[in-house]
Amino acid sequence: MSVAMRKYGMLYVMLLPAIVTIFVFSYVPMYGIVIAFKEFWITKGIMGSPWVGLANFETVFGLKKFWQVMRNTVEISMLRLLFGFPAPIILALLLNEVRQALFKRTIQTIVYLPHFISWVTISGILFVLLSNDGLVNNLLHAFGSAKIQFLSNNEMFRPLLILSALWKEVGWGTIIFLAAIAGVSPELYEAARVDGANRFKQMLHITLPSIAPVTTMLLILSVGSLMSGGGFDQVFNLYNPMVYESGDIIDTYIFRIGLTEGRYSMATTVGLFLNLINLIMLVTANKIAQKTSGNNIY
Amino acid sequence: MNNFVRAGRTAQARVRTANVGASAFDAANAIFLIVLAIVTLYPLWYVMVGSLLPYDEAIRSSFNLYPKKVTLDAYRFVFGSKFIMNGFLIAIVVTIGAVVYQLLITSAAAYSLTKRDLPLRNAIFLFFILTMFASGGLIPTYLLIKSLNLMNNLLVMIIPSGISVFNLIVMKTFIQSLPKELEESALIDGAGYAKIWLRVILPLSGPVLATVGLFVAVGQWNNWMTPMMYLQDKSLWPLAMVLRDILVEDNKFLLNATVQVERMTLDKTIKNAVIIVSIVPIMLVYPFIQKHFAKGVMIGAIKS
Repeated sequence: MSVAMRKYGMLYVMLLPAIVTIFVFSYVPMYGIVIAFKEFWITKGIMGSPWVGLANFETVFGLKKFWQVMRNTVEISMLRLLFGFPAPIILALLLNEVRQALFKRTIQTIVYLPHFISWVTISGILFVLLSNDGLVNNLLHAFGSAKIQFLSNNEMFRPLLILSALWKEVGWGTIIFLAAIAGVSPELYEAARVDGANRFKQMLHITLPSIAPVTTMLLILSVGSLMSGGGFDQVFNLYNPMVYESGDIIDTYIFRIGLTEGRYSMATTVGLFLNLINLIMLVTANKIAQKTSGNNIY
Repeated sequence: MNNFVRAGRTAQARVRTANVGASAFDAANAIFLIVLAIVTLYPLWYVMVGSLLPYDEAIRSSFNLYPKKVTLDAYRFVFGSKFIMNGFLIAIVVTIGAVVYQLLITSAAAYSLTKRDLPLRNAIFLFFILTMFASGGLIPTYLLIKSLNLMNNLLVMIIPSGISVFNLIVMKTFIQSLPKELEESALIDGAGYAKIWLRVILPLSGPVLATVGLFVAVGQWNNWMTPMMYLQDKSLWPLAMVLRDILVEDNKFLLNATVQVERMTLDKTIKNAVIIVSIVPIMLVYPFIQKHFAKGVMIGAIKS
């Protein structure tokens, strides 16, 4: 042991800051989950607060609001997947067809850019564009239609979320697919050309099947993280009480009942429920992804 | 013979239509991509035009392809605001702090984890990986930060997020790919692991340090969530939180009784200027970011 310590001791020392950070800020909060089973009193602390069994869960599951927020989360995540997943693949295929390198690089540089702009700033831009005297409403007005209050309209809010997310991420999303396409052997294309396949057929019968393993893998992983797919930054900066009905998701709901209203136990209960769903979905997705990659990629 | 010629002709015709089809597709594709680029850039351009217009021009029409008159009043106000400038300074400090801190502890841990014969290596690795699947959630974390007296303390921007398991994996993968010979010769010369890490591994890690460093820097520059939760003291707010206060919360700091009416009327153009000011620093480092981030995305993707 002492020989091992002399040899490896330093390595443990170098691991220590990382281990301590993870222990304190990732594992210790897991202990805090017990307040989902307690009636938390800030004066009594986590330890001192009385146990209440599953009472918090009963309260939460009895709330109409909770189920509305659950439904919103599922529906919005599905919409995100439906539009946000195929869009970068299509864009990557189109970019791949561009022959002039400079033109291609310019377009790539431009469409990657919004990825780095934070949702705070994008919300600011959207407020400017969509306000009552903003660009969009003035255009509507000029064409003779009525102005629309985009940001307080329950029918407009979800399309707004999906479109703004596409604007921000579609370009960036192409990177991984473009890399996969670049890895396809040129001989395959040559063979197809000899057989008389035009570019559309090459795209359909060579490019798409070649990137299928990557696509399948990413699809499985996105489905796995469906309920944890972020969206908090975007929704939290764009929404307001008037669109809670269509736009309030679990993460924003937890934030409000927890930190704004100070109902710690209830917020933790909802969070725990969400975490359990996430965990099950993530582990399942990873298992499936491992199996698929075992069969397809290697 | 006749048939042969005819077959040749139809083949030629087919090639010709294929070419026409191909160039039509190329043209349509190019037009689509150009439109996409315009849709991407136009909102930013629109905001910039709005930030440069004098107020009377700005209210006359909200559709200006280019600014017919230019004034820097809005920018003068933004750069004259203590609130915003203080936010800039704090953002720079916490961004540099977070980058240096994270790179050091991540790299040290990643290097240790590349030693296959290290006892408990797999257990330690599992200890890290598990946190990618489970977390305590918002409220328990909030209560912890509170009990550690990190509220209204700028260290809250740096210490709790001191290591990301994703970045750890990216770095470990990179260090594993380094040639072993240099390290071995240093070992033979009697250098300890700490010395090897400092003298051999870190200097060779340039590309991955740049990649991860930029990940951390952009994340920290845009981080408004941490200050919103843990920093109630407005004088500690980094730029992202200041921007949120102005753009999203619609803070009417402009409407303070002490501020002249003339500034109230600037409200609209000032918001535009604030948006531009928040984007410019990212635009400046964008050429580097683009190169390195793309690389980081690839390493991460290959790993997962």
